[in-house]
Parts: sequence; structure tokens; C-alpha cells
Amino acid sequence: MKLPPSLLYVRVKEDARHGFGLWLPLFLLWPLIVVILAPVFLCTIVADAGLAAARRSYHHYTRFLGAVLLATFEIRNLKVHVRSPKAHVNITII
Amino acid sequence: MSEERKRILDMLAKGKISAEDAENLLDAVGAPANKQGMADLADKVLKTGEIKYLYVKVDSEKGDKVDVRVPLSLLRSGLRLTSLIPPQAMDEVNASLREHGISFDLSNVKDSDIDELIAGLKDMEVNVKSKDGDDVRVYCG
Repeated sequence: MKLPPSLLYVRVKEDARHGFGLWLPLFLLWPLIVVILAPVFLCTIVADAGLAAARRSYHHYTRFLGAVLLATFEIRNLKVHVRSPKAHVNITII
Repeated sequence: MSEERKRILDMLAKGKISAEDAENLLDAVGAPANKQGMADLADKVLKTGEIKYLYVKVDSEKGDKVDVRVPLSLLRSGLRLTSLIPPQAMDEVNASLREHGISFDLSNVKDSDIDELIAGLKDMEVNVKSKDGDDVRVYCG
């Protein structure tokens, strides 16, 4: 089973300073996303049903939304590391 | 060689069908197997961990360094999404690509093309070295 991204780690370090790291708990947003997406999915299902009844060739808004959601799930393990002589920035999605 | 392919080639040899018919029949016989085979290969490449990520590494002369690790499953999902983009939005995207000199129709991207692309990434490596000393490397691992 695929899970959405759970944590976002951001680390910033400037010059010789110690820098700081932030763990952002993305899993706390999951319930909010479910609450927002439930009515959106309902709307797309109604829209798709209407479009299918009207015999329009495109009636895949629900599938599209689902695919967008799955694509965001796949963002886990994305890592970006930028280093310049003055600063370091690390971003990791877990 | 499968029995169906052999029969088609026999019919062509005996002049019962034209070369064009034979080509169409061979495509029809081979297509599902090739499609499935390519999907299996892409799955194997991703699941066995042969390659999991696309790496982009930039090393500039000035000392700046950028390392990006993108999961290949994200690439796959993103490409699959193109087949579900609403037609109006797809027209806009294609028009914008054309404006920028990229003559590429995203609506023509099929699942089998995506699987073929993922499977092919295993052996891909791009190395660019500019005369300024900048170094760009793109590879999968």
C-alpha cells in the first residue's frame, strides 16, 4: 500500500554557523486533506457522470484527481541538496 | 517464433496475403505481448531495486553543488498522468510546448512508451562538461 509523504526534513546551514534542521510532520495534514478531498471527489464523480450521460468523450476527472493524488504519494524519498561556498540546504521528503 | 507469426509468414510466402497485411497481422499478434513484456520489464526494474532513482548532479566551477534524487516511481506516475489531462488543458500544454520549439504531443504518450522509457533508463547516463568547468551528470541508480 502506498502512503502519502509523512515527514519533510529541511536543513539549512550558513557559513561556519551550526545551522538548523526542521522536521515537519506532514502526516498531521492527512486528515485535513481527506476532509478537503472528499467533497472534491464527490463533485468530480457527479461531473463525470454528467459528462458520460451527455456522451462527451472526456469524463475522467475522478481518475485524473486520483492519479494526481497517487503522483504526490510517489514524492516520498525525493532529496534535494544544494551547496554553495556560503550555505548548505538539504530537503528530504520521507 | 510463435505459431501465429509462423502462419502469417507462411501465408505471405505463399502470396495469400500482401506484405502490408502481414505487417498489420504481425503487429496485432505481437502488440499485446510486447506491451505486457515491456510493462513487466519496467516493473522488474523498479521493484527489484535495479534502479530506483534518477540523480541529477551539478558541480559548478564557482563551488556551487546541486544534488537532486528523484524517485523513478514519481517520474512514472507523472508521465501516466499525461494520458488523463483534460483535452482543453492538453491543447494549452501542447501549444505552449510548440511555442518553445518543442514539437511534442503529450497526448500521444502511451503506457507502453512510459514502461519502455523506464526500462531504458537503466543504461542511461548523461555527462555534460562545459568549457567554464561546470559539470552536469544525470544518471539512474
